[in-house]
Parts: sequence; structure tokens; C-alpha cells
Amino acid sequence: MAPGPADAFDPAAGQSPAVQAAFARLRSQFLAGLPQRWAEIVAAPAGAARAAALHRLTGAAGGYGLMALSEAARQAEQAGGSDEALRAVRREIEAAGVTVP
Amino acid sequence: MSEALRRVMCVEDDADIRMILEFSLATVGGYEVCCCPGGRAALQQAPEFKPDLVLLDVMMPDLSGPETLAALRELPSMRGVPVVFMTAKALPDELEQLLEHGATGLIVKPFDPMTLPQDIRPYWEHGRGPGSG
Repeated sequence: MAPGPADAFDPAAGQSPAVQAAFARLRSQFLAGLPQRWAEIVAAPAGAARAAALHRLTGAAGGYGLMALSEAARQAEQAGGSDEALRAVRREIEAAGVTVP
Repeated sequence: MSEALRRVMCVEDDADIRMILEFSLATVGGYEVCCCPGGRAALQQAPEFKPDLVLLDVMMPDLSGPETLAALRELPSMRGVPVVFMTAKALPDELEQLLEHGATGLIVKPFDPMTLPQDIRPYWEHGRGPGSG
């Protein structure tokens, strides 16, 4: 399995090579989509739409082993998508090895 | 209720979460899986797919999880089928309110894709309890 982002844990550790490879492919796809997710979050009007985008990121990131990003998104949702909370989300995206505009 | 947990329907609007659900339940768990992007699609596909258990996202744009659950319960083929909400809400009050809609149980997101196939099994085994039928 290819190395994951520095802040990620690997849910597939200990699984068969085929399962590990499948998970690695899916996580790569998810990481590749993070810039688009970030763009949608910052483009969303503050309020329900931004909270919904952060809510989806909370659920998705953790499933791919990016627990710090998931938690940052959860806190940003609870903070109403404040600038400070969004900066924390951005830091976690970048910690995952993904460049965002 | 079928004799074994074989078919699992997932209803989730986020494409990345649908992918990890399908991986978890099909590749890791070995279940036959039908993933739907929303409640309306689930209502169309459930009678043909005949799931043994449904995993249902709460916050969805077309029909919410509770709305979808209520509509699924009206389908004759879905009576008695356990329906488990999936939610990233983590506050106890919010979770209790969700269960009051009649779901069999709750899975809190993010979930571990390697353990989810086992995590849902108790809901299927005890799916004949209050609120499931």
C-alpha cells in the first residue's frame, strides 16, 4: 500500500494486500477531490450551506483515515464556519499533502 | 427477516462516503450492496433489491433520513427491515432525537470501514425490536 498522508492512520493495516490496495486507491481519489471540496466550502454562503459542506467533510474524511481533518471539519461546523475554524480545516488538508488554492 | 445478513442498502448523498461504504460492505464485508444517492432513489430500488438492512444518512438534500425512513416503512417489502441512521452529529440529545423517528440504531460518522460490516450485524440480529417494523 502506498504511504498515506502524514496525519492519517491506516484503517486497512493488517488487511489482505488486495484490500489494502483497494483502500489506497480510494483514499487517493478522495485526496484528489479535496481541492474541489475546499473550494465548495469557501464558496458556500456562511450559514447552513457552509455547515452542510463541512458536515459532509466530517463524515467523509474520517472514513478515509484522516481523523484530524474530520475533527477540524466538525469543529468548523460547530463554530458556524468561522474564518479561524476554516483556517484549521485548511491546515489539515495541507497536512494531508494536498495543495489548495 | 431473512436467515442471513446478505444484502445491505446504503443511502448517502456524498459520493466519497458512498464509495467507502461500498468498499467496506462489499469488499471487506462480502455483502451484496446497493448504494443510492438519495431517499427517492432508495424508495425506487428497495422493492427490487429487497435489502436485509438499510444504512440511511440523516442529512440529505432531496429527502431527509427521517423522511426516507417514514416512506420506506410504507413499502410492504420493507416492513421489519432494520434501518440504521448514519450521522456525523455527535451530541447525545441529537442522537436521541434521531432514534425517536423509529430507526433501529445509529452509526456515528466517521465510521471505520474495516469494522463497519461487523458493527451493523447486531442491528440486523436484533432488528425485530421496537421501531423496526
